[in-house]
Amino acid sequence: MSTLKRVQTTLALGTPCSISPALLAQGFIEDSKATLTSRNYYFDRDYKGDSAQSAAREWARGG
Amino acid sequence: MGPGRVKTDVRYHISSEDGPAKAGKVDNRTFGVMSTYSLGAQSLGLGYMQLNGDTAMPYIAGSEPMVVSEGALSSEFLNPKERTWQVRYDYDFAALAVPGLKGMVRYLDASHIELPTALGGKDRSESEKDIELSYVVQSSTFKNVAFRLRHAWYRNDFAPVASFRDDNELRVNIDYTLALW
Repeated sequence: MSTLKRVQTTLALGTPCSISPALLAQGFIEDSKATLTSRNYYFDRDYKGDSAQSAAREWARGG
Repeated sequence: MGPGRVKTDVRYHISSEDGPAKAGKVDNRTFGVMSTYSLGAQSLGLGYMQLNGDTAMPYIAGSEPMVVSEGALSSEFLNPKERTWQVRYDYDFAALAVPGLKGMVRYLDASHIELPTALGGKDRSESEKDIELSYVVQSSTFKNVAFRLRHAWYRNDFAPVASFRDDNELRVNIDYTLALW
């Protein structure tokens, strides 16, 4: 919970369910989708009150 | 419901320890409800979550537990005996001819938390105010580039050594999603 720097790889694949096993092979690729996400992420935490650490900030890049 | 819609989301999680129980005792039942009224571009949500049992609700470190306080920046609101009220407002700027732009503000207020004495003891509370603006480019060369700006003000009355500390937090995301096929 304390570090939320995210270097993330996202590759999402989705296929629909099919009731008949015979039909499962057809459309397996055609009905699927895949995406690729690239992320630049910056966070800046300014700790208030009594805290040993006064701030944390981070810039992360991932895909 | 008239010109608008109401969506109610109820979640119940039961957690306990099993096997060698190396993390110690786990005894938690978490109930959450979030009811949202939407009319055109606006949505107003009211939520409540309560934890029963002797321990907090466990979740995998670094993950986002799927409770009604999901997306809160500085705390999960999953401490023992915690009760959280939440109000949330969302606006879709497509209604003002800016499709892809969305805004959100919300406030979470929690009380009745019981922590170990060293971390603050009984009857603790925490609260968070969140504001968010997100924009997805709709067309042109930069289509599917997404920007997300979030800011949170989080305060609690836990001991200074507790892991959740008062903070003001800013998060900026710039994401690009490419459909492969």
